[in-house]
Amino acid sequence: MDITQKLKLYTKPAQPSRETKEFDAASIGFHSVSGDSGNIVRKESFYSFDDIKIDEVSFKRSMKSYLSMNGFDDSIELHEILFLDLETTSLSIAAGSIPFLTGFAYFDSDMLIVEQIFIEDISREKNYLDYLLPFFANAKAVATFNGASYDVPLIKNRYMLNRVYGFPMKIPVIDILIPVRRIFKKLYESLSLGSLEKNILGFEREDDIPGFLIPDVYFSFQRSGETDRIAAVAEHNAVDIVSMIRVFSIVSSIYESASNRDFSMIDTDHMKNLASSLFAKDIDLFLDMADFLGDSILDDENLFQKFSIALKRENDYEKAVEYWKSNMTLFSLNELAKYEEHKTSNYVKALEYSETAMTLIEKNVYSENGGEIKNAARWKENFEKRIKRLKGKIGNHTS
Amino acid sequence: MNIEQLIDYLKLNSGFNENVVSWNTVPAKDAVYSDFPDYIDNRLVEYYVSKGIVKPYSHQRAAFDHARKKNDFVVVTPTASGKTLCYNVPVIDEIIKNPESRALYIFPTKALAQDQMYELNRIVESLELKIKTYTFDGDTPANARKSIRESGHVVITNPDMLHSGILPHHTIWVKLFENLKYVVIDEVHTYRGIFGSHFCNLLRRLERVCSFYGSNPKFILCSATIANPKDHAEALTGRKMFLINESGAPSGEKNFIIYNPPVVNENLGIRQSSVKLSAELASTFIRNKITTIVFAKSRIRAEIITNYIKEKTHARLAAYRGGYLPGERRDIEHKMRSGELDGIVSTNALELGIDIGSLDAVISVGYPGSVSSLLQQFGRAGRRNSSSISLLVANSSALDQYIAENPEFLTGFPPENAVINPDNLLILLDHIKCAAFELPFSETERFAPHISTTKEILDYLESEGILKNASGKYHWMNAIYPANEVSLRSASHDNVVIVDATSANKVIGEVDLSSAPTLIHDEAIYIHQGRQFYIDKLDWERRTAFCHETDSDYYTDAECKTDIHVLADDRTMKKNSFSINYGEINIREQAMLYKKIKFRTHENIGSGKITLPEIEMHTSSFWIDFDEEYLDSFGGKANSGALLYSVGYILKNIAPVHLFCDPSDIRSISMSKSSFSLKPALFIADSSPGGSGLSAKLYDIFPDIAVFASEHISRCSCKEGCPGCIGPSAGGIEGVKKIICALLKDLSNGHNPETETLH
Repeated sequence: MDITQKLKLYTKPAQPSRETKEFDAASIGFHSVSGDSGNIVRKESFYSFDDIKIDEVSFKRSMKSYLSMNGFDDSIELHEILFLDLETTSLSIAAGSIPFLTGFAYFDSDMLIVEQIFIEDISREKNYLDYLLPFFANAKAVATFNGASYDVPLIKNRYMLNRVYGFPMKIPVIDILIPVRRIFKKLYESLSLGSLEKNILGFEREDDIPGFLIPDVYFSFQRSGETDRIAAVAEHNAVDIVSMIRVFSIVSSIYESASNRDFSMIDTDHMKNLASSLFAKDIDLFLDMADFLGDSILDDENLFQKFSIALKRENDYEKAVEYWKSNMTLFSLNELAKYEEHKTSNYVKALEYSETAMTLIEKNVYSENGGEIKNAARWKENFEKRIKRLKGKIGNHTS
Repeated sequence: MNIEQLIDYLKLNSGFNENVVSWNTVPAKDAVYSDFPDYIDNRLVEYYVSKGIVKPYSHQRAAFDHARKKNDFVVVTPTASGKTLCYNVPVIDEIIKNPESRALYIFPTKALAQDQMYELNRIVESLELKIKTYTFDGDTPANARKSIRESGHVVITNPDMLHSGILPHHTIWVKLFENLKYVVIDEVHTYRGIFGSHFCNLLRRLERVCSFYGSNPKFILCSATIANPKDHAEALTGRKMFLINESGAPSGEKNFIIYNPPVVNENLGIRQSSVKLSAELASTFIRNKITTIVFAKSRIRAEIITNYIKEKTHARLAAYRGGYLPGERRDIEHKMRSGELDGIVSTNALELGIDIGSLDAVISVGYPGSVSSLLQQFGRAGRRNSSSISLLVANSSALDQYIAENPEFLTGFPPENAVINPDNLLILLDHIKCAAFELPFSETERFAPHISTTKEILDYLESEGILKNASGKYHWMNAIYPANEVSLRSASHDNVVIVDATSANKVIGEVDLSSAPTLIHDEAIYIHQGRQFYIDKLDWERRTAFCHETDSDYYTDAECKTDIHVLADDRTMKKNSFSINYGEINIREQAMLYKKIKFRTHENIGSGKITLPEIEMHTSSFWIDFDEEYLDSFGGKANSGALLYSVGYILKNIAPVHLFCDPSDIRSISMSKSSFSLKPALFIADSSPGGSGLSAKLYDIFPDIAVFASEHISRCSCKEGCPGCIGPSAGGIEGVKKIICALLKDLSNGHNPETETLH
């Protein structure tokens, strides 16, 4: 047998490929452009602020709040940000994953310009990387949706593989998924752009091509020249970019309201999530938000714990104790016992709290209102130790 | 008794001596020293001097000089002769002089990589150098990976990680690849057979990536003793290699003993159990404070021997094998080194150079399948200043008995050639895929030995829609991540994990997918660290077996049903009544049932069905088709099936010695009616998918092997066949040994290349 015959035996043969058709950029709504960097296949779309339903003035302002609150240089202007979204042949960022359609966008004179580049011929990938290079070089930040770990490293790979130098390796990446996770965590079925469109932006796409089919569109094109679905991929990509920018404007305004203590502008659920994430970063803002949320934080065990610990750190024990007593969970009983043991040296009181906790543990409930105990063994060990120690201390005092 | 007294005792003990078929003494050898050359950084020399290494051995100096001349070289010296110095010195010296330089160390296992890292870190810390050494493997935490990529001077990894973790992501390893000065590959003798063929292709990929980044690292290879170290190193790397094989290290007197247990049943040719006998010998050794390692051929045997010795001696003993989790293994290695153990019972998992210090005695229970494996095991014994014992206890198998009959085969210890077949089409295809994923291929690039073969495979991949040829370059055009679909070690990439359902689903071990149907089917008894686990459920889809600990008096043994379809008969030699063939086949295998076998008495006490999916593979095979009447004329129609099985049994057991392979690399399957020729047929096939070239070689040397087989049967001391010659099933046919010899002789005459037709 010859090699090809053998290979056919060993492996499962693929479907016979169809005749290859000539590529016509116009058929997918793109143009073939020749420039300094050689031929590229490109599409350009323009949107006004009205088109993308964003208030220009407030977005430019609130974006600055977002940048300064998240460790970015807040002198960066909106028009200096390059928005980026890649359509690729696989989900991996390894060497064999190709971004066959690159969408990028920037603001210029009151317009949003979305450019898309389609790699019709993979051997000319270098052309489009050359074309793209000045956009990266001139931008002060790249904004993406989940791009810090995907789009940006992937495009760096492509520059490396094609030996095109000059990509700004240290460019700041604004990953919009990060604030999205902080603010919308656990509120919706997922935090995908599709879900955010439905739940935050208030629309649903029609006839959108599902993401998992996208690589196949390109493979079919490469095998047989089929272009039927490429326009749909480009449309998907453009909507992704616009939605990403709209989501960015919304999270920016939430950050701005928080920073201005304009809490009534923020939805309570969003505020709870955001407050939680600010606990470690900006304790003053956190305490102000918790104050504003008032009793509603009692429903949120995580936030409640963080809040009482923040009070403790600020040495506001009076208020902390009040909070703990209003919600007698194992956590609160533990804090109260610590407080009585170490701050007031009221060992009897501390022992009382610890013993109340032990009865809860024996009943296998987290508080008198019920609830499941996580790490019951650890709680038990903790209170047993404390009770033993407290009994010792009480013994010493009485003797 | 100390070790010298024990040797004397064994020499004078007639009960022991009458079963010794060969006792070879290698006298003690003095060290040959050389000097540290001036071109090595002084601090490095001072470090070694402070550690008592005032002068390097002659072979170490030779290594430094080759590295200095920028030669690629391979070092082949015995265990514990200081091989690591041969590469650590040139590598550290290079990095001291040029801190941008990088080195890549490749070890076959994670355990060896860990050892190396500690060794290098000791040197670097002591010298207060800013040289960073990291292991990079599946256990490396994600948050550490970035700094390893950027600042690791020496990256120590294993082939699997290089294959799926580093090469496909080469763009983020720029620093390493641009500045790579040395590639160090230790234990190269393990890269033989299928694993070696994969490994060779992996190095081809590594070289492609290096040349993309403009580096041309030098290769330093180390190997245990094999017959063809230079050829093997050159086959693996595709480079001209210099050979260093004169060891300057000293050694104590070594005693190599082959012991054939006495026959206890002459009719059946059954010998005393090698497992029990070895356990007894090991108990004697260990009771006398002779540190001993016992190598058993299977996990089950290792566990049985461990239990036996523990019962007899209360020794501090550990069982060691591949299925253990890394932490467990580390712990055992550490205890052995620090003297907290008196002995180890191991499978071949410990054959590789894991540092457990030197022991006084080695007992190999059964021939491990190749001379180089045996030498590896034997190399575990031997201290610099005292004598050592290395003992092979033969079992009743045909291969062991063949060796016991021909001890001269081992006395000179001519180790095997390490053979690889990197151009096995399936392996080549896999790696060309991986390579194309890493960097596009140009039309004129050579990956396989010939440009035309490379191009033919690339075109095939394009026709399959996996690659796209654009302007003379083949680009990867697929959503899969090819490295994930290629296992370097076997046909199946998957492992099945075994979890203890009663202990919070703690993972207690794993086995590869192809052994799962026979080892961990529902209701199997799985033995781990001497503890027994009952498999409640094997969840095939999730690759997980659930078990609970049990205490049963039996173990389980599974049986398979096998089907063969001939896909192509490439070569045929036709005689009137039979034909000898070589070609491509498809094997389908299904585990059918298991037997419960009682410990100690080995009686069958029950059985059960196994219902698991069929496992299918394509490979190459040698086979003989027989005319039915012809075959029946030897032993009568009723016995033809048994005869065929026996012929297969003896061939499968003798052939590995002459094909220089592991017995498990080939397999024998006899069929009363082949679906291809519709005649009785005997297949001897390559065990690995795509073929390993062994059955093709068997086709060429078949007459010799048939003659060897028939001589061995005549010489065997049994009356009517035994496991040591024609196997267990043909007993009961009168004159069966003569009948099989006659058949083999006839077959050897029928091998006539002049009658060959090629298809």
